[in-house]
Amino acid sequence: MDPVVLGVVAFSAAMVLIALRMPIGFALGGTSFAATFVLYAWPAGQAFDASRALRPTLSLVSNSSFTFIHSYELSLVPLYIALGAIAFRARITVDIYDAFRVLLGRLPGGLAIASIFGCGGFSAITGSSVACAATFSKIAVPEMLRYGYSPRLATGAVATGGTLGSLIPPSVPFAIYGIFAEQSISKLFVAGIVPGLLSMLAYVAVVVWWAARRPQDAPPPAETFTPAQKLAAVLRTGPAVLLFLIVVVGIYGGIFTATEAAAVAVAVALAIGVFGRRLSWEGFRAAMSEAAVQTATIFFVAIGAKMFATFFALTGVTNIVVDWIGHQGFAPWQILLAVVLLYLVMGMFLDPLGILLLTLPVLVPLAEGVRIDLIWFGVILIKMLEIGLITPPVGFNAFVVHSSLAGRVPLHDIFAGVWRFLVIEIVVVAALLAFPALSTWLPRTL
Amino acid sequence: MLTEPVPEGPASATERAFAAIERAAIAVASVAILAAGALVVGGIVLRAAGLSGIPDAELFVRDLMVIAVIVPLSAVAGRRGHIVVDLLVRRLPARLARAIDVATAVLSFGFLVPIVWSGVQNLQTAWTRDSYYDGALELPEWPGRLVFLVGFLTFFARSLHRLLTDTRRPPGGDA
Repeated sequence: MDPVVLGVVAFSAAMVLIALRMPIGFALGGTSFAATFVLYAWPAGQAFDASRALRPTLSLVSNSSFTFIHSYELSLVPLYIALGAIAFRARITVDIYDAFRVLLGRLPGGLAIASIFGCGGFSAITGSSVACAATFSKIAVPEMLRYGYSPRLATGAVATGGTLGSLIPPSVPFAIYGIFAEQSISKLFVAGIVPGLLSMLAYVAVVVWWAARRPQDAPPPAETFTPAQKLAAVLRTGPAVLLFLIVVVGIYGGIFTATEAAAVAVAVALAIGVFGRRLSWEGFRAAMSEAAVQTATIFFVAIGAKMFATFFALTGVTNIVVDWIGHQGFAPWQILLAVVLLYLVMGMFLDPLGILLLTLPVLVPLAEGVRIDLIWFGVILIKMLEIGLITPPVGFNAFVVHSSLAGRVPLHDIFAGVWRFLVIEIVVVAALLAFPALSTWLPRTL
Repeated sequence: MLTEPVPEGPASATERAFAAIERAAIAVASVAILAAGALVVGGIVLRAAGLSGIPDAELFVRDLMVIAVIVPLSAVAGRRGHIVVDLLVRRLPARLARAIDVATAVLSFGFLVPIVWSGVQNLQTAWTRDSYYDGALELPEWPGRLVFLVGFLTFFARSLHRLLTDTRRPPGGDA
């Protein structure tokens, strides 16, 4: 059987199985196994012979899965997941929001701005967009609603602010991209800083504009704080700032690798939790349980994706697509635009991690083939994944906010609040596409 | 998206046994994550003190990764924690949706069976050939291979149990 035809059939089969609610890891892994078996049993121009396929196919299954996870570099993923879970249970992440609330609460739209900065700070420790949206919808949204904020502004700011988790380092999606694209994870983390800050400032601009146009949507709270209270709130962010410095300055300063920064940050977060009496035994157990299950969940999909990538490399489909695109004379920016549109559409329906792992086996060689900087490419992909978290009908963060508020704010109101932020997201993506240096300048200084 | 854990009815003896195994698996994986972190930090501390690092620390971390990733897979299956896309199937009639779920669950074993089989073969090879990793301590390969096999075997068993209990449920029923 022609390998290209087999590749197309396997890709289509995987898509159908995923659409039929088969777990993505099983769909990718199972399809890869079956298609690799056919590839070896039925080479082009020869008769079908199952006996010659079993050994190489099983070898692919075992090598792709065991060798993939038997990795030192990958250990940073569970460590960053554990860091986020421990920092959350030790209330280190919540202190960031409290400080911004105390400092900025009296400004027009100040509580919404505080929640966006809080999400930025939260992201600088946890790297999980969904955890950020879930946390802030329980803390910040009820407070904003209590002070008379429009439910659309309150939930829109939190759902959108939550997306910062993937872009601002540390970021699990960046780590996974780095592994599949064989790029330095440290450089990817550093590359996400400027686009992350740009996105955060863009969200703040939307809130300022919103509060100026409709002051009734963001009335200033009556609560005031003394300078001493403000100072105390700022000082309470010390542990969060310390963890951020360990990760970002540690990596940027060349003191730690991304894996070492993760391990040191986990140790420091645990020390803060235990010695600061912030982390109970139950909280610690819950954090580690979350980290263990989340690690296995993510890696099961990654194992399937790795097998899928190996199968695709065997068929040569990716090379054919890259050659075809090369012959069409498409410019890199046209490829990037097509990828952006693809991710925008996929983001409306699929889980971000699923999109990433599903498309990387094809997109990375494609980007490499047309000489797109893979660090820049990674930033664009992760930014698009973030946008997918808030685009209807399956904007996952909108659902998380809705569910965390136990349905107090209808889903259509949350999406109505999000759309203003989506407009600015398009501007941010356009800026990232137009000025690659926004993503590549900082990592080049490493 | 991550599926929500489905509330279960009164737990059967098998369900309780699986729950106990999964609690233990999560505890073991948690210790593995912390141990990997401790090894990395230990290496940094020793390096800062001007000493040579922990021998074969990277190999230990790699073996710990197998524990951290594979051992909790049965808990993921038990909690229905797999990443799935349910945009289409959740809109279908309950009976059809259940039939599709059962069919895809059966197909899933087309992946699990070969991975368990290759796990057995690799363990056998590592054991009989006395394979070891290049390094100062010449660490044997078989413990990592054994963990991989045991992890996937419990994952297989849990997935099979889930499939059998799901086929007995009324369509659309949660428990």
